[in-house]
Amino acid sequence: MTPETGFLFLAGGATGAIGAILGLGGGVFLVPALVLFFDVPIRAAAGAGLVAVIATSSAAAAINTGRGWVNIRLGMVLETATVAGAITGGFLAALLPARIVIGAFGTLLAAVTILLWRDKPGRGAAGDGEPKGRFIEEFHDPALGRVVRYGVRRLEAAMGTAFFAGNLSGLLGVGGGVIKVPVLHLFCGMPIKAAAATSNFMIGVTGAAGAVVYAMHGELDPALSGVVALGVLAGSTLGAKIAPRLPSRGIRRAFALLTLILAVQMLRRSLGR
Amino acid sequence: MDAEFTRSLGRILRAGVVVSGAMVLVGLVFLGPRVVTFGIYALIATPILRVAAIGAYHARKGEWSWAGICALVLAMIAASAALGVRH
Repeated sequence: MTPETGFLFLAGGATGAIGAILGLGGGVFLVPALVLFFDVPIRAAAGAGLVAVIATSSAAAAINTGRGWVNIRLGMVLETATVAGAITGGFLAALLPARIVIGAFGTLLAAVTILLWRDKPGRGAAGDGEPKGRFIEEFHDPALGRVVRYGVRRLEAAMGTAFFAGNLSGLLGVGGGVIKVPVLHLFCGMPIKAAAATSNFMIGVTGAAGAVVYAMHGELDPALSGVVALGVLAGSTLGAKIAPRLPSRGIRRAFALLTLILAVQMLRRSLGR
Repeated sequence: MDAEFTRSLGRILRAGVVVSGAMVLVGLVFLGPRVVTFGIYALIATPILRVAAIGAYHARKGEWSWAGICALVLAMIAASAALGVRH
C-alpha cells in the first residue's frame, strides 16, 4: 500500500462521510477532490465516482428495500429514463472536451451550493390524508410512529427529471439524487424518506449503466475506482452513523461554503486556471 | 411485490457489495490488478442483476408489462455495451 493509495482511500472516506451526512451521495464531492487534489483526469475521476456511487447505492438499498421505503414500481418505471440518460451522458463524456465536463461539474456544484444554503425542510409531502396519484404505496416510519401512505403525481415531471439526472450521472460521475429527491418530494408528492430511498434505489443501475459505457471506452481505472470505492463505503457507513447527532441547518450551511469553493475551483480549472 | 421478495432483493444487493468489495480489497493487497478489475465488474453487475431479478419475479407471475420494463432497461444497457465495443 503506497502513500498515494492511502490518501486516495482517505479522500474516499472523507467524501463518503460528508455525502452521507448531507444525503448527497459519493460523486458530488469525490470527483472534484480527485480532479483538484490528485490531478486525476476528469473522465477517470467520473468513472471512479460512478463506481463509488454504485457501491453506496447498493449498500443503502440493501437496507431500504427491507424496510419497505422504496417504491419499487415507480423506481422501475423511472429507471427506463435514468438509464437512457446515463448512457447518453456517458457517451457525451467521451465526446465532449474535458474542460467542458469540468465546467459542467462546477455549474452543478454552484446549484448544489444554493440548494444547501436555502434548505427549507418540511415544505414537501408528509404522507397524511388521502393519497393522490399513482404507484400508491405505504410504509412504516419509525420516526413518526405511524404508517405513511402516499401516491405519486406529475409522473411526466418525474420522468423528465430522471432522464436529466441520468445524464448528469453518466456525464459527471455523480448519483443524480441531488436533483431527483427534491423533485419527487416537493413536486410529485412523495414523503422525503420514500423519495430518498427510491432515488437511491435507482442510482445503482443508473451508475452501472454509465460505468458500462466508461468501461467500454477504456476510461474506467479499476485500481483507482477500487481504492476510492472502498474508502467511500467505509466513510459513508461512518457518516450515516454520526449524521443523526449533528445539527442539520448549521452543517448544511457549512458544507454549502465547501461546495462553493469547489465550484469556483472547478470553474477556474475549466477556464484554464 | 411481496415482503419476502423485497427482502431477498436486499440480500442480493448486500451480497454483491460484500463479494465485490472483498475481491477489490484482496486484489489490492494480495492478488493483483486482475482480481481488482474483476471485483469492479462484479460491483457494476450487482444492480444489473437486481433489475433482472425483479424482471424474472414479474415474469413468473405473468405480469408481462412489468417484466417488459425490466427487459427494456437491460436491453438498453446491453445495447450501450455493444455500441461501445464497436468504437
